[in-house]
Amino acid sequence: MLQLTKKYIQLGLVALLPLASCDSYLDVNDDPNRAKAVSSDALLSPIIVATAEGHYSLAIYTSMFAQQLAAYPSGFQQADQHIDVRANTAFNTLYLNSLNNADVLVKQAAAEGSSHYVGIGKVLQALNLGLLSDTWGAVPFSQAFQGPLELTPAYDSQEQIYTTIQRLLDEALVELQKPTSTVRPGGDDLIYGGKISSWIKAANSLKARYAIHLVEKDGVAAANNALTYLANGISSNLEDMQVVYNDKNLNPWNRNIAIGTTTGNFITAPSSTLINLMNGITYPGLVDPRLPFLADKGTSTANYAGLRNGLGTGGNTNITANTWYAKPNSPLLMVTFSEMKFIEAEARFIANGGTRTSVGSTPEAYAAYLAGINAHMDKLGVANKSEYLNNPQVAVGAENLTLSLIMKEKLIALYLNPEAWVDVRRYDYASAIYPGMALPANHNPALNGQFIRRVLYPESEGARNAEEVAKVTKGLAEKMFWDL
Amino acid sequence: MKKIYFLLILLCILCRMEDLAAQDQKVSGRVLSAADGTPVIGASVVVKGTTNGTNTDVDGNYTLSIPSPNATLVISFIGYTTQEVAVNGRTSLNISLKADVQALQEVVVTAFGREQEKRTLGYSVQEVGAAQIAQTQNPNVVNSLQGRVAGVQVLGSGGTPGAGSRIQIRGINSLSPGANNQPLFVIDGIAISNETIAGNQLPSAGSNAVNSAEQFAFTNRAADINPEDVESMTVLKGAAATALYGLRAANGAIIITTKKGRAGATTVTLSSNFGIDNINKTPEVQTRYREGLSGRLRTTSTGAPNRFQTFGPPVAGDDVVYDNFKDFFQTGTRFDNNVSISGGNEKATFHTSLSHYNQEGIVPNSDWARTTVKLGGNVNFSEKFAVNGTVSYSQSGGNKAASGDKGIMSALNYHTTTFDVNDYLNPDGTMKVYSPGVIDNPRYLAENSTLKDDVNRVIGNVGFNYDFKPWLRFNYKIGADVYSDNRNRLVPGPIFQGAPTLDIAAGTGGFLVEERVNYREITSNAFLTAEHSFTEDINASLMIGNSVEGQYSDILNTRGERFTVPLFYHLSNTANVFTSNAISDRRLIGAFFDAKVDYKNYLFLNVTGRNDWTSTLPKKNRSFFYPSVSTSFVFSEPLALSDNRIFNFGKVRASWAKVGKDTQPYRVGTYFGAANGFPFGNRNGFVVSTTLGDPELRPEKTTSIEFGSELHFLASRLIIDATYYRSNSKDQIIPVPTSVTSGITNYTTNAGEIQNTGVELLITGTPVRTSNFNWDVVLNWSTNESEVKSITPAVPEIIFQDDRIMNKLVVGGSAGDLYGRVYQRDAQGRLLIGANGFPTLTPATALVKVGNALPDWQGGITNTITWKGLSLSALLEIRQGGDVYDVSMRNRIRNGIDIRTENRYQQIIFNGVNAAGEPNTIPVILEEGFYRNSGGFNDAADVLLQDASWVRLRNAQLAYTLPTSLTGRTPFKSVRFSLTGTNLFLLTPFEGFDPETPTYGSGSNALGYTGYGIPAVRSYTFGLNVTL
Repeated sequence: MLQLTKKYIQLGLVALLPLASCDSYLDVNDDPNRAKAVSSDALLSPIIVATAEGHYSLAIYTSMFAQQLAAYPSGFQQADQHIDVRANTAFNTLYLNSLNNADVLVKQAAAEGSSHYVGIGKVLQALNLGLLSDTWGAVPFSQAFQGPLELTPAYDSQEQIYTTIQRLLDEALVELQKPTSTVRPGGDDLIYGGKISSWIKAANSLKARYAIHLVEKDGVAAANNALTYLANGISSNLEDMQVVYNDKNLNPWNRNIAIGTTTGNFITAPSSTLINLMNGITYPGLVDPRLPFLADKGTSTANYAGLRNGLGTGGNTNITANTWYAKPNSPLLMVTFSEMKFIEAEARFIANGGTRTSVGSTPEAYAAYLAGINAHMDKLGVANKSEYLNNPQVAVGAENLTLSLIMKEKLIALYLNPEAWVDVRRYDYASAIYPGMALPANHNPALNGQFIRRVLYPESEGARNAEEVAKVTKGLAEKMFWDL
Repeated sequence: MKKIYFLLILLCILCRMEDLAAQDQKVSGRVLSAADGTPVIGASVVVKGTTNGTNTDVDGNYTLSIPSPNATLVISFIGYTTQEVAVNGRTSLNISLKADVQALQEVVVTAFGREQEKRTLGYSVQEVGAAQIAQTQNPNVVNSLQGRVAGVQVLGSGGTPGAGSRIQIRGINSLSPGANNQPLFVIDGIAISNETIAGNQLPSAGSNAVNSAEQFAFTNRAADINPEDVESMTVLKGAAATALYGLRAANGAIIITTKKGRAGATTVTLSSNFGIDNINKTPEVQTRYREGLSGRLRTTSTGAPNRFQTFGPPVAGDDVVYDNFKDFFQTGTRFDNNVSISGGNEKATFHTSLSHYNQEGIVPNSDWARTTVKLGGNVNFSEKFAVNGTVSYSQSGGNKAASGDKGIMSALNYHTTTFDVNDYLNPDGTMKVYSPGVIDNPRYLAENSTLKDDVNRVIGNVGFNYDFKPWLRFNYKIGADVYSDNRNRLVPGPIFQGAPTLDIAAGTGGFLVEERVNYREITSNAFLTAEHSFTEDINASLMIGNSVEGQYSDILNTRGERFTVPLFYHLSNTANVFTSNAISDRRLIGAFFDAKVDYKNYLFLNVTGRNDWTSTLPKKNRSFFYPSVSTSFVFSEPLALSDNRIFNFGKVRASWAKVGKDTQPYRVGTYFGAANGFPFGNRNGFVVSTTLGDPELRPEKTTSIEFGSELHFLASRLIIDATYYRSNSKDQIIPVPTSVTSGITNYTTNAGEIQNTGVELLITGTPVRTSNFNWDVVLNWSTNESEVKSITPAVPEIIFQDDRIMNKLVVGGSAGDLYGRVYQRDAQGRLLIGANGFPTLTPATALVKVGNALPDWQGGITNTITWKGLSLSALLEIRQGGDVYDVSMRNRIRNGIDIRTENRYQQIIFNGVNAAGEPNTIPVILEEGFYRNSGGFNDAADVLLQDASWVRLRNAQLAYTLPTSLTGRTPFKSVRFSLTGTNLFLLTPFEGFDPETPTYGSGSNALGYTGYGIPAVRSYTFGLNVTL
């Protein structure tokens, strides 16, 4: 009865309306500012750029842990002291900007039969997932990206994620090798310009990367796996997986760090650990010609000096637009030929029975080691490579090759790449491998002298997905599953 | 339209001429107060039905020519009941005026501009009249409500000319950080926009803080209104008062009635005001140390001075120390000129005005000007049919001072005391700054980093009334509010090749933002009103109506970066161009009824209902109905108390109301938007939206109850009006923050409830009332408490703002709660001292509640003393509680400017205990790192957050009206001089600039932050007001 009365009142009131049709008057809630559907090429470019930005927002932390960088006191100094590290921006960028759109792309491309987009999408999924898992450990994927259907996705274990990465890459290879694709990528592919053969190499390179991560766990088998994948991997600097920025879309290291150093906003600068590996201090007499490409000491006439980790003082170098990495139009390197050569060197060294303390390996391992340095120098455009490459402390010969030499060179070549921290952790921050590597000053007392091994989940994630996060939360010094 | 008004004016002039011709007989006499026989000065004596009239002199005498011996005189004066007396051939006529027990018949404006007797209302309304608005001497009408209305909080906007003001009635009703918590503004029955559009003025790269979206104190659009045009502003506070307005008035409503012409002599009013503004309050600076670091002057490796911080050597003999906080600000000036003409006859009335306001700010190169023209009128075509209309045009804008991160206040608070901030220019025109590449000179910033806005706005309405029968009336009104805002944001690039730029241009080589805001709002209202008397004692009325509204806005933002040719600032001269376009279309249809019945004019019952159809909710949920019931009982009437000397009037009122609320457009549906930072090179790109709306979205519901009473004592010389209310807003439409791993970061759905309870008190008293001397006191007091009853099981908190001090809501918490890190203390409250001898902070991850940004209570006391033509009025505003984080103070501490850092390099032992509970004995030296490094002193809420309680003389005015004996022989009807002061004194425990200067603009819900906005001012205004 009440309902009926209400209805009559409503009807009576409507009768007063001077409008002929109130429905059409009100039907204006379709957003004119956004599209209802977009093509695959429109989706791909932002995923690629987000993947590159994800690398930056991770590396701003991980490069400090790998002691390529150190924080200024006005920067993320607590993180540099291994205190309460969360890297929220990176987590959000990788999930919301990269993986979320990659998920849409893969599904949409599969539905329309654009197998090449499916393949590229899966390679990017694997890369982003690798970044996430190597930073946080267990992360959601199998239940992620369902929107309101699953607002609190469960976390996949890191082991599961590693299986997923290899599966995604295998599936990607199948899709990329299909001869037809309804829509084919072109200029929207900001990495390879639609060159599918390069994507196939990139997929294999990633398979190699995530295989070598398991070398501590699986030993020689992992090394051999990596070598198998490498055979079809990136084979020149021209095939590097990178995003080239431009004068309008500034490289994030330029935009966020280099510009800051010109306006008094000092955030981060090269670490003394890295600089000392290159400036003749740790290796007396060995001065790396790549130094000015990595670090800018401005008008200083003193020797190159880096910031002490955890202290933020003692340096004279910065990441500026004069370095190779932080010009407005610098490329942002994600997976490179030099990384592949160092993976090869390490894999061959281990496959040959090498250990952390053993000396000497095969000529192939030695060649890969030198090729890695050479590739990185070529990449930077170093004019006089030979002096360094022929220095007896570098050109030690196959019989004197050590894992330390390989890994220290890889640390330099992976400057500002989150992958560097994976290596450093695999080798336990050992100063025997990375000479000069030591705990940062004012190190987090709660860690009792243990180095950081993982990053904590963002507070927002802890709050919004509390139950699932609680199941997988681990401490900062607890190791990754591939780390023994 | 214009022709009609022209005719109107002609008509009025003709009427006057007739009047003049007819005057031949005279009547004179005295007007006395019935109560004590004292003369009533300045009472109006008019021949009924004409514009022929005069005013009584200081002795109450009048003399008037009358057209015929049978004329009727109408005698009126404020505070007295108007009387009509037939002359009946007499030539001498003394009149005794009875004091108007005013509030008993007081008429107030309610929803849809309906004038109703206050006694009939079952809810609280409060009005601010033209006199109070004029006393405020502020170009922004919103500010004239400051401190005057119980339950209304107006947060002024500081010293940028044209800066916006934030207004909030009875607390925050919404859990959503993006929701609008401000009331609906209605002018002459038609809703207008009071939005503050912040836009986007940031470059694509630069060294701005991430959350520095608010760069300028943008104007709230009600500031386009000329305050002199306003007759009254009525504040409808609770849901019962606003229920008829529907969802847009869910946060209350401000009903503005503009001045209308009155039948009678044409009146010309000229007013001219001139004012000066000065910085109100500045922080104390340390004067013992120079610039430098580690107690010494520094140089770079090349020998150049390396300055910035002020942790250098002690100030020696001839070193000069500057108080840049005082020196930087100049004396601002304000000119305000206004002309209005009004008049009419019984057929037609009109009111027209022209005004120009021009202000130069206390920050160099900041200004704002407003020109308004208004014309309004009413024509009665017949007994039954009348047409009315108003149109006003305003043009406003100026140059806004850059605030926010990388703004003026940020740079000024970092600036060392040993260099003069005003020495800012090199001979080649580049910035002279004591620490190049690290800090901008704030003066150079002010002169060069500019934002100009230019608003053109037309607000107009036309309506008609038709009386079908004496008991049946039809009203219709249609109105439009249309404006454009052209904004031009410029940060120059290098002024010659290789020249340094401002920090904010470092990443882009300079940039130019051209923003075009186009706004249009059209409202149509129709009502049919019927009245009926069932018996002599029972009267009823029923109004049914409908309202159709549409709001459309289109913001086009084009940013050009990297100027090719120096010093030529035009989009065509930029290398990188980014464009975005935001269109919003929102429509609403409402149908409503308002039924009233009263018994013997002392018991009133009012039932309303409204159904809204909104465009912003899903189709199936877009229609919703909500009712209200209110009642008022004037119990003094049946008790026959009206002649009681002690207690002459008493009323109780009660109401219950429900109001629905919709959401913003385009909340539901999956969309793909342009990717951030794209086009990348020449590629465009799209991303799937990361916020999603519930397809089952329902309207929000606010239920409120209100009880109140109005009691008059001592022949209404003391009136106490008290109100209690409680409102519960349920099913809030909140963007619930979700795990980003789900692919979305916000899911907009119905969740959560917030409750606001409060008490409001309004006491009006007249301690002294004699013929020559009057003392009136108006006191208002209000308190509001809010409690978040629920959010949603998935979400423990909603973050409004995170900037070292976090403004967030949790279940059980209150709106405005602030969280931060504090110094750790033991159970006895003793400071815990770490092993290094310094106090320790609580962890960054589990923030502790440290305060609340909203006041515990606030009040205002207005004292008005009049003696003959002289009047003195003062508004004292009191605010108890309300914490703010001074963002700029942190700069001052970190750079060694603040007085708190003067104890540097001293060895002290912190008073506290160590982990074992033993008294701390470790001596430490307060190195600069103590002040500079994060994670310690400058991150402690104990330091950052301050109590911003205040007592301020918001407003004081001394005015003198020339006696009629002087003006009588001149063409002037009245001449009035006034001297007004604003913020003449401020008592507050807060150290720093005036805390009433938010860092975020008037459109923001982030409360509790100050420091990056241009601080508030103290001002003096001289005014002259002449009536012809």
